[in-house]
Amino acid sequence: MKLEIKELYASAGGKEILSGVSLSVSTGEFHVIMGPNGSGKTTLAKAIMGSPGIEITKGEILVDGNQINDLSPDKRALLGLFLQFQNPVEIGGVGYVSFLRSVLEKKTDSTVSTKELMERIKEYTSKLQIDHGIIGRSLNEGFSGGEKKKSEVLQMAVIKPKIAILDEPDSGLDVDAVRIVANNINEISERLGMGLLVITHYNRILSYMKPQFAHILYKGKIVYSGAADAVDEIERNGYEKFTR
Amino acid sequence: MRDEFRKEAALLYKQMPYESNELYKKYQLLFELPDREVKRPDSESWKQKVKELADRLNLKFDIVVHNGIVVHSLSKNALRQLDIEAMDDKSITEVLRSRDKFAAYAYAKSEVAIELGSDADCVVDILFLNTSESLPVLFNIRARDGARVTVNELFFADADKDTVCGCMHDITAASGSEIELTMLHLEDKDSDVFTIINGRAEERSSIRTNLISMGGRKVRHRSKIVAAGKESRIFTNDVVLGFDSQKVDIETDTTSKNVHTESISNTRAIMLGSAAGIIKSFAKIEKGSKGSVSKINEHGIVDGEDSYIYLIPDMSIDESDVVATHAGAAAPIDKEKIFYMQSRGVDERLAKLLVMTGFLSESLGRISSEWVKRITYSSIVDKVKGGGFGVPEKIDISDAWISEKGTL
Repeated sequence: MKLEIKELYASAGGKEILSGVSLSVSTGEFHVIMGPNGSGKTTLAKAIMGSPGIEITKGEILVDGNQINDLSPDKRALLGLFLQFQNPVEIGGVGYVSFLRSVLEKKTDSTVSTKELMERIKEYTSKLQIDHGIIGRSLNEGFSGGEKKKSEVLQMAVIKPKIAILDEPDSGLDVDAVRIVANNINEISERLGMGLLVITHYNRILSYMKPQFAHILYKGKIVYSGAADAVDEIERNGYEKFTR
Repeated sequence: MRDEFRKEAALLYKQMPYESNELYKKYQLLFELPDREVKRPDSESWKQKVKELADRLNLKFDIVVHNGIVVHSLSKNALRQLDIEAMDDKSITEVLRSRDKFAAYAYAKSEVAIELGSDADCVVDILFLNTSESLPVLFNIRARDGARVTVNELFFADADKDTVCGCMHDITAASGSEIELTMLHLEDKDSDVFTIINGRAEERSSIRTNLISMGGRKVRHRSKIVAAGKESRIFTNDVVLGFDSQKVDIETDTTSKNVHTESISNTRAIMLGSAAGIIKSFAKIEKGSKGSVSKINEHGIVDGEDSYIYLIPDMSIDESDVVATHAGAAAPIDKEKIFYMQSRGVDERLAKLLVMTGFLSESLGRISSEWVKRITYSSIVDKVKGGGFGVPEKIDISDAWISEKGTL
């Protein structure tokens, strides 16, 4: 699967946030996007997934050559895209397991065994070191910041997308949790041959991960696309070199 | 007889009006009741209807009230501990002719008594079946000396013309006893619905009421419950799903009258289509009710172009040593929730359904009756999908989206 973004312009609340972004991610590739606060990283992630709060004013989003600009978020998900939210919303009364079961049933168009699903969830609650009790709770409700991040990774493991966009999977996590989350993302993406587009502010999580490509977003434009060693430059000297 | 009743009802209404809150008087629905006679159909007719409904819902009812008249007890065993007195339909045949004819229904004459003695534990399932104008029946529910009474009521209407379905409750939980009253309303679109609860919780007793409103063209519910004894507790739990062009007017009053009482009022309401709702919860804490806790929570979702909801929590606090809070919030469905679910592969229609059922299911989790939860859940799904009035054809919870808190 190949995700292509061509000269994308997008606005939120009437304000232009993305001003001609171009990017391409294929399955099996690992890309990282960095950029200062307010540069448009989250807007880009949401635009790819089809958030109703983001208006695409120009440009294209393509999956395997087909434009998906007008596709609803659920149809994009069924194509194989996945967005890990920076701040997952709490949805009271909707059971965690039941929700995942229906997502899988929608995806596979067949009945999903609750027992098998529970086993898969249990495997990842153990790997991600999340309290197994989350499976008896409502979706994201009452989860700590760390639990929310880990729960997103757990959902990714269960849903098995082709390309995942991870919006700050490390923010708000302690040192140990960052390592656990990173290792699990590595394991899941390698096993499934997924494409990854990781958005992050810091290279802390990248010390456990090995991106192939780095992109720097600044004021709604990609100002650098290339080798991942740019990450080290940013760590040493900040964004100045790329934003001059 | 009619004139005599009217005079008596009007006098009683003046002495103890249900619409006494000056703020709430501005927000209420007025009803015009049709002048119709109560019909007592032949026994075969109602028996057939009850059987059909019981089979469809896989239920057995302990008491059947037909057009406001207690017609049968289907399970003698379940009622062995009960002392039931049913009066017939001689008392009331018509309602007041005043502009707001609610008064007549507030003072019913047809009466049923459910009374439990020391340490008894009993569940009574009641079907209210309305096929024409209904007599406003009064249920007296008494629990004494540590008894536990659970009364579950299903209101079903299948009338050929406009009807009025009314039921009153007079509840007393004596020292150390517990009463749970659940009313599930699934009347048809030709019915106007009236319900009233007068309750009194004595020392260390509790009263829990659950109102599930999903039926009737117009709905008016009034509840006045007093935590009269020390350490008594009151919980009111209202679940409202308004759809089509329904009009719903619900007022829940609680009063803390003694020390260390607890009074909790929770309402969850969704208005779809062009439905309108007025939800009023009033809590009074009287002087001398030291150490009491009183809380009101009203939450609403509006998801219709012409629908609206007024949430009006109000409190009167005459004692300083108490905990008292109230909250009210109504909003359209959170688009971020819908987007989150869609991003996982769930389509918008199902995502909305999940948010709505999830929103209401937390309140359903507080109800003890499994069959009430089962039918309610199926009805919510049916109505959100546009299924209309009445009991849904399919009672199915296989895809229930109920959190652990509200497990079915």
